[in-house]
Amino acid sequence: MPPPGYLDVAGIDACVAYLVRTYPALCQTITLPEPSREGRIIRAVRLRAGSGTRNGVLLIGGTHARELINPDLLVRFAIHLCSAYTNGTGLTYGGKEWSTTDIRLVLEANDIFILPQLNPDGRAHVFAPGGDPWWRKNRSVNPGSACRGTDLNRNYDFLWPWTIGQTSSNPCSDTYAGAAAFSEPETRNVRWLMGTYDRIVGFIDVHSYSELLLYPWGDDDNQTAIPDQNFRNSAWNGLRGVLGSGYAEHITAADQDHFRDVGVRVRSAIAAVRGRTYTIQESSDLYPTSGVSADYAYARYFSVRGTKVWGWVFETNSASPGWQDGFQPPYSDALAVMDEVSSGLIQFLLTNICVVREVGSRVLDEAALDRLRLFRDQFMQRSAKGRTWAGLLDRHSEEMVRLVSNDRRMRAVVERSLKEAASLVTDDPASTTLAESAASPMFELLDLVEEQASAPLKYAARRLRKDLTSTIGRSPVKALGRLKRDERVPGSESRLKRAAPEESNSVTDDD
Amino acid sequence: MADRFFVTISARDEQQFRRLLDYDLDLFASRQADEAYAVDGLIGLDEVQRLVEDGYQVLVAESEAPKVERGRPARADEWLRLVEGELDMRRRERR
Repeated sequence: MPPPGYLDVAGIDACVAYLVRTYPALCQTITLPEPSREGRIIRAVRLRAGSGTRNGVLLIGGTHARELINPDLLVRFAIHLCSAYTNGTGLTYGGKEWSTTDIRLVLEANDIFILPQLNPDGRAHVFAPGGDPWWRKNRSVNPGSACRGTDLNRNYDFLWPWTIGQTSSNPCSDTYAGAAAFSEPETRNVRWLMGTYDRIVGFIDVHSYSELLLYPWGDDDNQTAIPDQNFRNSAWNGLRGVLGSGYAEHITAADQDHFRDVGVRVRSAIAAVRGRTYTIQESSDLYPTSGVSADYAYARYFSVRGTKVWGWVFETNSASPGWQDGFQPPYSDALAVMDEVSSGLIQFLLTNICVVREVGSRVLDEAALDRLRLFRDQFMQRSAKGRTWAGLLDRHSEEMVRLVSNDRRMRAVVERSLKEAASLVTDDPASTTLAESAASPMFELLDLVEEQASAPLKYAARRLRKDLTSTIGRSPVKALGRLKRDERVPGSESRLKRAAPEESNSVTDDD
Repeated sequence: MADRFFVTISARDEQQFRRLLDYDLDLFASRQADEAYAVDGLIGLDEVQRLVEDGYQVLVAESEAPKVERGRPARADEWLRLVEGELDMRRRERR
């Protein structure tokens, strides 16, 4: 039995039912295709306000059964969002206030998928009289072994066969990776969510403890210089996570910057509540692993389909004052942790909103939006100038979304600018040129930004104005300057290509 | 099952720390943020002994026996009333 105050398995289920019953316009139950090993139905809830396509975020909790805070945290967070939206208010967590506009944006520009208890069997075992309060795994029966359970956060199909670092092939270990990648129905449900809702671009697996914000990769140190050192390259099998092997996992500088930038914002939002400072780090800094959820989520982009999922593991709560409290603090302390992490989640959801999609979905069709995304990924990321543009858009998207949501004139100008940009970005963007008339709404937009935005965004606008001026009369591809070869999409020198699944030694999408 | 203990295990260098991962122990992030090669764990006394013999420093912190009184889980209806009540209070404070 855990300390009093926490919800048991039925309690979490009841809260999901309450959400859908109380806020039917905002919440929809998703019954996942597979029950748990012991036959429990597993439910997620989707939160969204209004209609139309938008990017999604998947938040999961309760992967490790003994980490009791997070399922309660996620259902409480969902209730907070729905209640604030319905009442037209903001949310206050300690010293951090989120405005009515923030809450509106979070729900109107995101699809929020919340799977509060991934591992109900494990949680039931923790709560059971005579159960193990420190149980971590699910409750699968392992043939040929007296030991039960698979560590669900080692069971995803990311470098699965290699049991790297703190990952085990021993069924009696607490980090047993399972009989095969996705051998467990609980992890297959997560794969199903990512495969079914392919606009999910943000993912957080919420764990405890240590106050960490962990981003990929988990198998080895990150490096940005050697693209061939990557998880798909079988020449390095058996050497990942091995000290002194010379291996480090490749991540582009742009992606690493994105992870760090988002991490800094989330960390600030958490710290503003009561001063706790979470540490942002590559997950391999904790210890190397394989088969971890966030790596799988992010790795899908390279092997399964074109949507990049920014995968994170949050480790909520400190261990102070005692070790047991790290996993199961007294409930009054757990509530304080829930408050600070809820603030971080709001920030994450705001960061997830793409101004191009948020505004563009009202004036452009899906094909045009898709072309803009492909242009960013396949052309802009291949030149220094393009990466600068994409980075500026990425860093300032949240502020742009706020400006646009508060200013109808700004929204109209952004809409016109995006229409012009979309007409340039055809399947063969090297064949189009930017006419002076087409650039006019873009200059108008930069004028408005320079009037209204923060100093960093004004500075960015001034840089873009120079580049925009020099682009007139040229194709958007030429304007980017020299392009590096695209390793991910071979042969895409001038035309946009939809990425096809490719052979690799991990990451699958077979439902 | 033998009694387990919450421990902090310290290695002298990265190499020794990496070898620790081969012991198949229940390890999790260290609460000793200032120690580069330390990790927390929940392990039995036999494992503590083995680690010490192999040159690790092991601080045995507390038994797995729950140190605070355990109680019944929250009832969902009571829990929901508390959450909604707290939200009402915060809304009033914002006004």
